[in-house]
Amino acid sequence: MGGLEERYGVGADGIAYLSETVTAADVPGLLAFAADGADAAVSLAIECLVNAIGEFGGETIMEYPETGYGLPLITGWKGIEGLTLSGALEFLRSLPKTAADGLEGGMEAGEKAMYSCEILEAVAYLRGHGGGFVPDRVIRELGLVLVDETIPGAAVFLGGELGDPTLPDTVRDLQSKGMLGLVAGEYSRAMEAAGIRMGLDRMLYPLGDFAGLVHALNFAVRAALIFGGVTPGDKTRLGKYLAKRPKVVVLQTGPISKLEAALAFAALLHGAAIVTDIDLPEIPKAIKVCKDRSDMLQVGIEERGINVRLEPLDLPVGYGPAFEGEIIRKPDTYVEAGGSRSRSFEILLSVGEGEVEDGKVEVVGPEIDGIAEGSAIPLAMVVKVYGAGMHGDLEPVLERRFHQSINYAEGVWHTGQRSSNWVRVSKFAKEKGFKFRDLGRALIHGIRREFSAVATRVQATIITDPAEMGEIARIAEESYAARDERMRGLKDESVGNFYTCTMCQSFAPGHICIISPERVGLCGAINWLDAKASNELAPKGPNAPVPKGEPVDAVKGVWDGINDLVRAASMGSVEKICMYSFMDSPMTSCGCFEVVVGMTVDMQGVVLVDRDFQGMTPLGMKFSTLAGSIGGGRQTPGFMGIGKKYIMSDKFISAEGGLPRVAWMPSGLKRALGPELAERCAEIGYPDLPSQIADETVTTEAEGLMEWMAEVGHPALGMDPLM
Amino acid sequence: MATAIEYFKLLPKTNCKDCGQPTCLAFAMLLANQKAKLEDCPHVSGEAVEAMKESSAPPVNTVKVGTGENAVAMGGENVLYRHERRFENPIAYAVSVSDSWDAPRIAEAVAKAKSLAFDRVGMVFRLDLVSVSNDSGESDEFLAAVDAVLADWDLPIMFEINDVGVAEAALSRHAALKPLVYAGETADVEAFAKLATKHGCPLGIRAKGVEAAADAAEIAAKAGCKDLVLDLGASNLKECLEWQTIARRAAINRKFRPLGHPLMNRVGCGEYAVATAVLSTLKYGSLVVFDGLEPYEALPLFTLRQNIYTDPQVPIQVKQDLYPIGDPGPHSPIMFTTNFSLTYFTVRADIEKSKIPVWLQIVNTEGLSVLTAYSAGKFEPERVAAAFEESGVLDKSDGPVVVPGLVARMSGKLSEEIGRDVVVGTNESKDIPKHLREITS
Amino acid sequence: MAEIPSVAEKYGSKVGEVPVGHGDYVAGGAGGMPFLSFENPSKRRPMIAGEVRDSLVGYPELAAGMFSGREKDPADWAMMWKEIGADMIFLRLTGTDPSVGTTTAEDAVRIVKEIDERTRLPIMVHGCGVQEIDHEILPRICSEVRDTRLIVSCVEEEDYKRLSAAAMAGGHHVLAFSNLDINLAKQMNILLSDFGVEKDNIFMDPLMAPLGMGLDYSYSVNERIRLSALRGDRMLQVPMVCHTGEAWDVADATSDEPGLGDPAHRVAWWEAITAICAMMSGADLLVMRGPSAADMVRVYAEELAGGS
Repeated sequence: MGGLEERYGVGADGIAYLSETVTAADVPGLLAFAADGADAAVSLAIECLVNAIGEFGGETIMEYPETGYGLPLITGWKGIEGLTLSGALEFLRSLPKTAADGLEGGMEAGEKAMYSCEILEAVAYLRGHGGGFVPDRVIRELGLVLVDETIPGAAVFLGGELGDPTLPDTVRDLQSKGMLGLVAGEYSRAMEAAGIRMGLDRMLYPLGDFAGLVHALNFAVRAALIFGGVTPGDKTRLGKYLAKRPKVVVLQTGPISKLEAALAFAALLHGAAIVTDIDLPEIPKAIKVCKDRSDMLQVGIEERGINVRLEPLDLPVGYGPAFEGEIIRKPDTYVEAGGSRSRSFEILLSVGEGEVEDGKVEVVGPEIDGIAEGSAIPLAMVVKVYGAGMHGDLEPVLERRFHQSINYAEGVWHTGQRSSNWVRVSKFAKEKGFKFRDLGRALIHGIRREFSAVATRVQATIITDPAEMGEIARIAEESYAARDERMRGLKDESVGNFYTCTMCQSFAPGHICIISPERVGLCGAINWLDAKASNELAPKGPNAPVPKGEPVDAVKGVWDGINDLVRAASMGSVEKICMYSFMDSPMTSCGCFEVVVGMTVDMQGVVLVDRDFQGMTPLGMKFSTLAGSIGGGRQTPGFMGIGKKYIMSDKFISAEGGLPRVAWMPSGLKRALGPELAERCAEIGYPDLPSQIADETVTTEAEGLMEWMAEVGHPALGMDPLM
Repeated sequence: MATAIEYFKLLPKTNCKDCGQPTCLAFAMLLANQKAKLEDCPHVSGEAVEAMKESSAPPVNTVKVGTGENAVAMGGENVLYRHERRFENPIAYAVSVSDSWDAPRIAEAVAKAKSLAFDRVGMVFRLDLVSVSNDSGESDEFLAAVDAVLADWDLPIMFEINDVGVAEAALSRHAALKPLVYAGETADVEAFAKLATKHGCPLGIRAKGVEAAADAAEIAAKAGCKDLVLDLGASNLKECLEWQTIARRAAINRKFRPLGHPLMNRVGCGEYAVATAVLSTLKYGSLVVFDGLEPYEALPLFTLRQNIYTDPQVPIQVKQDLYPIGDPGPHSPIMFTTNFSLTYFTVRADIEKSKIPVWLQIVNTEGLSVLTAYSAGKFEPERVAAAFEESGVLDKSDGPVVVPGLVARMSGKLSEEIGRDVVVGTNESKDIPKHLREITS
Repeated sequence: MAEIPSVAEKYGSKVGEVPVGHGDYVAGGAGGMPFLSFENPSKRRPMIAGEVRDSLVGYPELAAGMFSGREKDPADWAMMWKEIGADMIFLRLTGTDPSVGTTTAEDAVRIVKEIDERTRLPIMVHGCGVQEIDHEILPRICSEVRDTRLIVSCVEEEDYKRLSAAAMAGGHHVLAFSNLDINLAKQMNILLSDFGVEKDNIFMDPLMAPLGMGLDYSYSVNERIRLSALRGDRMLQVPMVCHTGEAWDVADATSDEPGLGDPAHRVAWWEAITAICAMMSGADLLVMRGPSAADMVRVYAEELAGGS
């Protein structure tokens, strides 16, 4: 302790008091402990200042070297500049005594402690014993890459003990992730002892003992002042900025001192997250306990939402979009799986935190070297992910990425999905040294590249041993079935939000797509779950949730929340839409709908025409004419663009009687709808309907269709006319 | 505006095909899109026609000058901004000749007017009208000048005549051509209106400011004149912009009929005249009459008109064809992309920047851009191969075939289709020059 | 006389006003559609920035010939723009790309300072388009040029953090680029706001396609952006920048084809019309290449704005 007394010019008592530690605390205990620390820190700083005034005179200006911000914390948070020793004394004395209640009290304690420490450290510089302060010029360089996330974040090491065996690995991990390390307390000595060299060039910077931790805080504050354009003293904006960046996590190990406890609250004030290995109370997004020191950094990264940049995938073969279109023919194939030649499936599962080891790739069964050329092998590709924001609905979205992840590899080919996939590895790739393990690596890479925000831990297992597949195959089948069931079970009534989609707005500015569980987007590409997932992955992207609001007309599918949105988005040109009607205020159409619904000329039925059918229809118009007339974001009662899947929905023009209204559709569309059409018709009590729906081989004329409908006794004839 | 269903209600629903459409519904759709007239149906009741006409007439009258397929239509607009809906009738440009000129001078001017025609993207950009100005104040000289113009001019014409007597003489002789009679600023609006109505010809009048113009339009309307073109008498750019905007907004937003007419500008020649024409093209003009127009002014102006009057909801398409850029030879790279005009323009400009000659094959994707076309199944390797086959480009060059980076996944299939190796290009058009340098060095 | 119904729109919002350079030039502030004095009280015409480059590689010879040799020195070139009446200098540092020129970071800083000292006009600085180089040089300029507020051009969705942070650190503005789509344009402004860039430090470039090469798309995208901004979309209420120099890339603008008239006149009109369309659809700042086009457009804009 002798060094610290000399450093600050104070007696031993205050330092000793502030250095008292605990290894466990509950919430009130921790707050009281920190409050006590804060008050003691103020006393110590006052003692230090009184002595310094005696030595240097009260008018001496306090400032750190090479900075334009004097005492950055006091400048940034309080807006006070050019503080003298006397002024600092007055400032400290003006601070109220800490009330140890609630988190706010903790924050107050933190604030007081950090001002005190900043003053202590500044006096240390005055006394010629200073160290640990990062000059502005370094912040301008380092801070730039820190706020633009080239350096994804910083970790502050607090506490620590000599001979911690996990330390070298943690530092290596930190450096491989390109993060900055700021080292306080015993950790400096522990690193030295472990032979870890520190310095800015190694992105590992020692802050100094005791009050030295404030240099991490004044670093963050200056980054906000410099890069955030925050005005000194504007507490609200400073706090808001620091909540976003720079992203700092504090790794605290071992007993925590009074001063450290108080400064930990100051760190929270600066948007940092704290991970500790002692028994402190957990506070969401603030304090997290992790007993395994080797896991603390990863936990911290997740807690603070640090986006670690992805290293390029290093495979024995080329990797990238250029290889996506590659075709591997049978004679060039070394080994294949699936494609009805062997059992093969792929699955992505969202699991608990403890069930994934990030980056782990496992091959269960023989590697590629153990397999004879020309074989068709059983294959299971299983990816497990964990992430705080991850959930079951996102699984298929992430799983769809497998296709691209695999096809990007030169000499490897993939098609299909779920248990109907097909994979080929070429002789070329095998020769180059491609292994099944690389397949796993590619899968992990793909997920990390696209979905690092939701999937913070990713693990892949490639199974080639049929004996090991049973259990996971069962889980996969259950999962596929559950997903299908979930989509089927989703009803418009059972959700609070629909989604908008603005993807095609550049061509149809007036068009507003509303996607509900039972009505897919009219391009056919985006259903409600997709829109929901897309919104979670990119909250400011093209899909935004729309609260339905109060129902206005349940039959036609009218809600006031939807109408409000439509009215605002169309600047008043569309007043309302009926989600389930094509006759009354139908949804607008863009240009990319898959199918047009149109009223027949006898006003009894509807004709469906899909994009691929280029011939004449009984409406007297071809698809192209219809598309040209109804597109562009207008409401055209009697006609509407839709996605194919909507035809099978309970809510398909349900205001007008639904599927039994359909009198005609091209044979190609019938084929595309497949057996589902017959199933659906049977389900709603019209088993004969598929054969009653005419196509172009029956007629392409209005009269022909009317005759046909009469002939087959089409159910639409028994309904009320459409107008 | 009425919807197709509202029109359909009025129709007999007999699908008699007398209107030329296979069904009443199809005809109703055309009506809703203003591509047909209710009168085209011989069976619809007169009352229905009147009722619909009233409610569905565009807020700006449509006026036709000339006859037959060369007739120039003006007005008929429904919207203030082109993103709402395509502007109906492109602005027309005219060049004026004077009846005080001798015949050779007039012939020369007409020849020059005719030379202002440019073949572009499968369209001809050209001057629409020649105007004959009655500077002499005499009927005989005017008629002679008109004859001199008609000797070599087949497109519509217009007359600038300030004297009712001369106008009477001119229309008595040429009413069949349906010329626009532009009376300029006149105290005789009523007389001109009656005259034009009698001969079934459109009338243009000038009155300074929107109020005076509305008054004049009312007088003309009372005299029975329906085909009216208004010149708001702007003397500078600001007046031109503001007055034309007020007139058009009043007609469209406030249904103010007296200003619901096509608008015209009589300008001189030179920079300021062209600038006025540019503004008028953007903001609600239907006709600009110049004293003269140079080709270096005409081409950009006509291009502007073409751009502004395209349908914002239908992507402009480029013809499927092989476009040599630079002077490509037997080893030059072969590139291809979609026929969406913006894609084509961008890719072409970036290839030109590289200064490396390239065979650029445009594939008909119905105007969709690369990714959209691919996902819509309109930019398949088969389609690309067929386009190659049609143009014979693969026989013209053994150079590398470059697949757009965004559709790299078609490379395998395409390579198979054309029996040649392909290379994958860049995702972004702006990176083309760099990539071209790499593959050709 | 007839009474004309009032047609002035009451939008209720306006585009932000942003001081640039030494504070004596301000862009933006429109409260109605361009130049309509009955609804837009702002008499400010769009600013005109003249393009200057550090290297003439790839710069059209026809354009170079219009600057009487002064294009060889960037500061002198900028001075000529000032004499012509430009309100701003747009500096394109193409020569910092080693495959094009030899401009170093020090050179670039010196050029910017020289232009500032000689012209005292606001400056917009644009990189060479090679990310690594722009990431190095533009931040250097941001931190070393401090007594004039630059516009740093340009940031995109995929790459905005480095340059935005550098611009903020130097107290400069950023230009947000988006590709011909109102939603993307808005998205960029949201991203920048989230990143901490204040709205009054953002300019937007929605990509002005030149006459004959997609101008129609740009014209409508711009109009929609401006209308949405006036009708209250806060994320679009920033001044709009349009480049019109691309007009020089249009074959019809400069070709020697007989019957099309003098190319120098033609390209001037080509760029001027592109610029007029840009300002009529809402542009607050025009970046121009040709001196005669810039002169025409400035005169017309002054007249339309109803003041000088």
